Amino acid sequence: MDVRGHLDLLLLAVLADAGPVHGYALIAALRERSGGVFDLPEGTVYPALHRLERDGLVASHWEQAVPRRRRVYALTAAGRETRTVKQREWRSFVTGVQSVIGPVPGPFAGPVTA
Amino acid sequence: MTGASEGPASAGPIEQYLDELFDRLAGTGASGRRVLAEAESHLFAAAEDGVGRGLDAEAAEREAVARFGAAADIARQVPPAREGVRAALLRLAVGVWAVAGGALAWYGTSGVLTSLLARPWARLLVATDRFGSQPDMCGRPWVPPVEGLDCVAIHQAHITAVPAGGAGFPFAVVAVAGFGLLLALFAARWLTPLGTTAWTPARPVLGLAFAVPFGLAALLLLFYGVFGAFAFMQDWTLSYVVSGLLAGMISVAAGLRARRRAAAV
Repeated sequence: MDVRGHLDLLLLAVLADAGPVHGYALIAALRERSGGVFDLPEGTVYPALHRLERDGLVASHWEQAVPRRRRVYALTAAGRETRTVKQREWRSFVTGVQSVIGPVPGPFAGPVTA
Repeated sequence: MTGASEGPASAGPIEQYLDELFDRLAGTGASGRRVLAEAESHLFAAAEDGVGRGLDAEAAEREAVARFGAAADIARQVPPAREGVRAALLRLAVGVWAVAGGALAWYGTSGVLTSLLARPWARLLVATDRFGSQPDMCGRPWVPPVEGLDCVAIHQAHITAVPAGGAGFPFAVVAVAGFGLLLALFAARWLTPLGTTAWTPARPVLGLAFAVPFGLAALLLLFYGVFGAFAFMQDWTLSYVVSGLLAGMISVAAGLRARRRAAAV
């Protein structure tokens, strides 16, 4: 699935829930929490994280881990606030779309009509 | 290098990938160095995971590289370092190359299309007779009253191919030269350091460099084309409409592409 345009919110959400985390673990968490739906090219996450850092939403530092050093990322206060705002906007958008196209079909949903 | 990279695997897929990424990140300064360091850390961690899942070292590195994505795609997302006049001139040179190729391709193609459409256009004018505001197309002053004269051919000969340049102008050669320039640019960017960030104009800037002049040209040409059609059905009407429509298509495509790139990721 193409996540362009939504990657910022996804990264902020994972960072908010997982706390300070390095890039590899962040990507793994993103893949795991999406059930494999957001299986994006892993390398594209780093430029996105750097952009968030330039915007002041994320802070990072090198951590001398074993067997190699890693860059650890964490949300800033502005990042937490932005995450809340973007999350609210996204939920409002999803609610609007669902009210137009109907609820998600599933085992507990009613019959889908044309 | 550590972990999966040590020993014989150190010249494997990950090292080759990092070499390519290093080349493509030329001109990105500290941002590029950081992406490269994080890519190295990430790829060797992923390869170690692969080995932990039972893959051999080579297969684990290949999988890690495949999951990381194309080096060119990643390098494109890294902003260029703040630089001086030299780097700005490098990008300007590539931008001028692209715009020059596009302009020549547009101009030549407009002339070729106008030439191809000239006969059906002249037929339409003659057949409808009152097309535009000028009745009796075959009785116009420049059509000599000679029996058996091909009126369509005479009107066709009067159609000007493209706003400037007469029937003898080598429009096809200009079109080929323009497309050749564009193809050469694509090839050079694919095969040489011309494809690195240091040589790459900012997408929105390049998009505007195409969208604005071609958009203005389209408005002007279409205005005169439509004016010519309704006023006197001038001989330049067809060429103005064709070149105006082509310029408009280029402008819209460039504008949409610049907008999409700016909104991406």
